[in-house]
Amino acid sequence: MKSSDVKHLADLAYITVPDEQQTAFEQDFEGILEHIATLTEVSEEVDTLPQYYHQTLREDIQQPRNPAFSSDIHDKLLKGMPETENDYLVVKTILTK
Amino acid sequence: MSTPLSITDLHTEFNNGSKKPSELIEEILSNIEQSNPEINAYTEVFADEARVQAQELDHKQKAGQELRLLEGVPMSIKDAILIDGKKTTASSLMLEPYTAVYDATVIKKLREAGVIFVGKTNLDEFAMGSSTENSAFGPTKNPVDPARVPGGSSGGSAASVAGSMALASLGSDTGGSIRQPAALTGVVGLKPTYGRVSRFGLIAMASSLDQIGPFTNTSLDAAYLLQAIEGHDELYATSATLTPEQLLDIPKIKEAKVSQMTIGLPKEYFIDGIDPEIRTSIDQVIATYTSLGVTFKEITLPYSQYAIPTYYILMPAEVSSNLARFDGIRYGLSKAEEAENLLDVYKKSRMEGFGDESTRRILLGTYVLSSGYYDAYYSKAKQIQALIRRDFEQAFSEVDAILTPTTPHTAFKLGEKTNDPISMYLEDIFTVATNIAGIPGISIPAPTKGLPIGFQLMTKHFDENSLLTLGNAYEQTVKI
Repeated sequence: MKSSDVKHLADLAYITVPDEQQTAFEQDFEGILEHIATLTEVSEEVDTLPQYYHQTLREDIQQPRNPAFSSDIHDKLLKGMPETENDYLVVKTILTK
Repeated sequence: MSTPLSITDLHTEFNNGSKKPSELIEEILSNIEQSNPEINAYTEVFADEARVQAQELDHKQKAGQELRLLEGVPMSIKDAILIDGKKTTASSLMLEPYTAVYDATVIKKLREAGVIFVGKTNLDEFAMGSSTENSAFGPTKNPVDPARVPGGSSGGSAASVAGSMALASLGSDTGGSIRQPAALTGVVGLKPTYGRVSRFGLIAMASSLDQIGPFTNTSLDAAYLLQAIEGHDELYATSATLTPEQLLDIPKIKEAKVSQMTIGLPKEYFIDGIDPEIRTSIDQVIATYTSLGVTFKEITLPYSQYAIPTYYILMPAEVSSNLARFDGIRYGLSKAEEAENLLDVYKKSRMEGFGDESTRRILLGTYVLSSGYYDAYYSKAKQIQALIRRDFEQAFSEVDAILTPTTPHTAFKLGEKTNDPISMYLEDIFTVATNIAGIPGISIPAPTKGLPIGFQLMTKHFDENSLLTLGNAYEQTVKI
């Protein structure tokens, strides 16, 4: 793995990784991938599809409100936001056009 | 006056009037005040609320009403589990500003049982680590020897119990994060079967491997707490509906004889390089069980040698997906003020919010899931996960339980492994296979003349009754 590969991974993962850290990660990943490569020794193959014993999906019916949330969840969420307006959360403008 | 060591002792003392709940809380808070500045087990302490709750129980006690088993038990909670109205940081700068708006299911159940939550405990950021040195809020130290780590990632929880700053704690275990710190600090740590306990309200690290479990001073206490938190949760699809046989049976755990049981010793775990101090200690544990009539049998778990590399593909793959939600927009730390565009918000927020180990695992996960590498890594790891599970199924057709050391050595010094990720990852060499197979495991203190040592027991899926029966039988024999 090269430093440019680390930068590419960072771009895919939406993280800025400073240059000096890219070099450190490059060395770490070489060691980790070498360790992981021992899995190529295994040639036996088995079925890895999950075994379902029963239907795991609920019937499609309307549920009551989530019982984990207390009745004042609306107020709590508003209180936790830095800015609110008319019972709505105010967020930063991220698109200008 | 000393703090009782077990929930049973505490229950007796509360109900015969020899101790008041508020006295115990004051002892615990005093221990925290004395020890926490050095040990750093807690990230937040709820002193006022704990005192109010204890005083309410004092009134109940004074009125002659019997306190229920878990009423007044002072517990700490790993700061990756949500408590309504409390900060939940996962020991990350990313969530430093976050306050939970609901209780995790385990918290709701313990609250209803009357437990007193004393505070939130430190962890490796997002539960990624084996030493609790990866916390944004500083490392936790081992109460037994503060120059050494308490293990991780639930190191704060383990240290709180080992340092008498709580009678019990809840942690989470993805590859050994309950059992390894329990072993290094000298307490009991239980990872239940995957699905036995709801993970609703646990900040996810690797969703197919994570499980919540207790830290306690005895196996019986672990049984009491597990009984309080186990069971299906309609809010969490992976929580299991337990059959009557699978539900914990405390009377059976207390009274069942172990003389008809067979324990397997996997030859792959008892290799030549094992620390002689640990080998001697495990031999003493085996001798104790033998004196109780337990039969031992050598077994083989051939694919367990691939458990660590398998884990370090599956886990980071899930980490990279789970931590994608932390983007500086929806919750937690945001660098929107300094960003030039939306992509910049994501990148800057994630760079500032995540520590080195989290970033390392996110990138590794991104790599193993990326086009061209998915089959070579992730698909291969899923194959080997199936083979590891098959190994255990075959073993449990021959034995009731499996015994191994919990860790390859005793607690190491702070900073000793921080620059060597692979060395740190190998700390979990004896524990990760349990998570990969989804079976339950427990670490119990083993005999030692120096630093704490733990032995690990594992049983088949949902057979925590056998696991805790064996743990309790051992402790009753050595009089813990």
